[in-house]
Amino acid sequence: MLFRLFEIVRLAIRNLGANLIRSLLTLLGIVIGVASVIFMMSVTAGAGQRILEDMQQLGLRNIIINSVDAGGGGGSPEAHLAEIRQYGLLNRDIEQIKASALDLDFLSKVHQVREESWVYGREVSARVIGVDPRYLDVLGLELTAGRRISDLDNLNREFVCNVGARLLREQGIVGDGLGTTIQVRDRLFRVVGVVEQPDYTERGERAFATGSEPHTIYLPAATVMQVFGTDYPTRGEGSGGTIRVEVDQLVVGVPREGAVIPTADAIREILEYNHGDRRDYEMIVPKELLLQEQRTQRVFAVTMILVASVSLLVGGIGIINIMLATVTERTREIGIRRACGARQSNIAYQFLIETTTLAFIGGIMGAGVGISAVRFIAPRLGWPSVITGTSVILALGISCAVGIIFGTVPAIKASKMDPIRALRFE
Amino acid sequence: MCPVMQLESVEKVYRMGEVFLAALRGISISFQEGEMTAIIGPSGSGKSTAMHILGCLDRPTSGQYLLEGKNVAKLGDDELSDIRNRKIGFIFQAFNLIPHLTVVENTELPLFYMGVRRKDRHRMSMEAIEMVGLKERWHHSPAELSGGERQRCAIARAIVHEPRVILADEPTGNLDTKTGKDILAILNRLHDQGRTLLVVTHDNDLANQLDRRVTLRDGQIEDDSRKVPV
Ligand SMILES: Nc1ncnc2c1ncn2[C@@H]1O[C@H](COP(=O)(O)OP(=O)(O)O)[C@@H](O)[C@H]1O
Ligand SMILES: [Mg+2]
Repeated sequence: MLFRLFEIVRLAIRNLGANLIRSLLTLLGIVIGVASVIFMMSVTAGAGQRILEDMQQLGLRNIIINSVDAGGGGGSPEAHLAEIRQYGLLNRDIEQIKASALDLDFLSKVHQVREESWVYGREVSARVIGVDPRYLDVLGLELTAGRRISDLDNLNREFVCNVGARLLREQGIVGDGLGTTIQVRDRLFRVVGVVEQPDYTERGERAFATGSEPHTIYLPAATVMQVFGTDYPTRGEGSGGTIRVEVDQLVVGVPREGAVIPTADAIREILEYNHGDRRDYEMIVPKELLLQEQRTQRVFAVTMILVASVSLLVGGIGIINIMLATVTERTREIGIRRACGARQSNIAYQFLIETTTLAFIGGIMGAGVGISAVRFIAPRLGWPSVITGTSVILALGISCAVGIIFGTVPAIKASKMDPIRALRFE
Repeated sequence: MCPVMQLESVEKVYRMGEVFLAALRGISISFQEGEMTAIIGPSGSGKSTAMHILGCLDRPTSGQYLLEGKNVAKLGDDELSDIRNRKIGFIFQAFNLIPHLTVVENTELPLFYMGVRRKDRHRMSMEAIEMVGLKERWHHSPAELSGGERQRCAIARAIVHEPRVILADEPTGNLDTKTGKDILAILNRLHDQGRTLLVVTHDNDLANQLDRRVTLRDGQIEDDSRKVPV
């Protein structure tokens, strides 16, 4: 059986080649359908992979809350009286989150120091933040020399810091840079550890509020609170006012991924109660975003599958059409084959294979077009994409299925022809 | 010895809408192994219809057709296909070659449906092609051949699987006299090899040369005469 299949396929290709232009036009629908299946699957897979990477960078068990300057006043009545403009997370929020019955892994506060910094008398543009060791884990920092800021540093309010290797290099510091002194406002901090920041995705940068500064200097949070506090003079406007931010960022670690959503809901409730209408904080729940994104992607996938199905249907109808015409044109051939002893099933099989071969060739061309589109169009649109073997195999499988399904009608028509009439056909 | 083919009161009625047309009206005749028979008769007398039934391309409306002693009048489509495939070789007036296949590929057709392997198919076809004198042309397509060459190819196809019966329906009808004679020479050679042949023809000279001459008229046998051995 197999050697015959091979021969029939070869013959089929020859017949299709004899009518090249017509065959190609017939295949257009299948080509588009298969190409869009591959394109859709690659783009979906790419987007899925990117969002997963993004969210893994943020930590699927983390809940990140950033303080946001929403403008206008707010905060405690005392702050109001002292004409201090306050926004963002409150210590009260954090106390309540801690006091709630929620099962938490850790709770990491970040304080931003709104002061200038210098290295050996030269000003550097860096974001200065007070952190605890947990937060360094959240950021995924890698230590290249020395040690990290520790709980002990916080406890003892040490004047030490971690900095990025790049900042030291840019300042022309040779060696590992440990022991370098960094001045923030009027205080000196000794570099005890050099870290390397991973490349954050756009989303990661936003969530971690790394801001526009090229560098970050990490100080012990407790030292920051003691030395700099929460209040800073408003800069630039010359108003002489004061800004207060109690906590700039809070990262809550949840022990299990499954508990993230309920925990986030509970925290959201606390924050909404405390802040009322003031949108002076922003909550980022990577797990939620991932689920949301996956839902959107499913909708996108379903839409694309519909589009692909329609073009495959159109392609299939084109194939039926052309094959019916072919069967009529080749009526005499059918008669001759029948006279030579071909059974009805032989004739049906021959035309079915011919149609399937045609569709399969369309599938291969469609795969070529689809892969090219993924290679050349997706990057121009800035869409991430991954060409998976599954998508190519699926697309080729679909094209064969289209051939078999839509080849049935012409094949049956061919096989049911009366041999004598077929032989007499002009 | 039982005849190779035997028709017993075979009738064939075509129905066209409300009109019934009897193409064969009770034909009884038998053909012996190795006989070469000419079938003559005016156009529309039922010659082709008889050939189609004898060749198992069609079934009689009533009556019996015994092929090698077995009644095939009521067989199903697949069985008839298999009989055509193994026992019958057809030669048509219109040659009936498949245009997009070469001479050798056309010749191979019956073997293909017999399930003969490619290599053997090629060898057997080449033998048949050589026998009809078309060896130099084996890889040409029908469009590149003259009428006589096409009919030679059709003959090669009709004999490649060594069928017991060869049915030729006006094989020289589309050919000039000279070429027609060549084709007949080939058919005569097949007869000499002991094959059973039926040849529908309009050529009286030709018909008179053969062992036996059957005349059809209006779907009935008008005359059935054997050449008296000298
Ligand atoms: N498929 C058919 N349908 C209807 N009538 C047919 C068909 N085939 C043959 N006939 C009729 O049967 C009669 C015998 O035809 P045929 O056997 O072809 O004659 P011949 O070959 O002797 O010229 C003719 O009248 C012809 O019109
Ligand atoms: Mg006729």
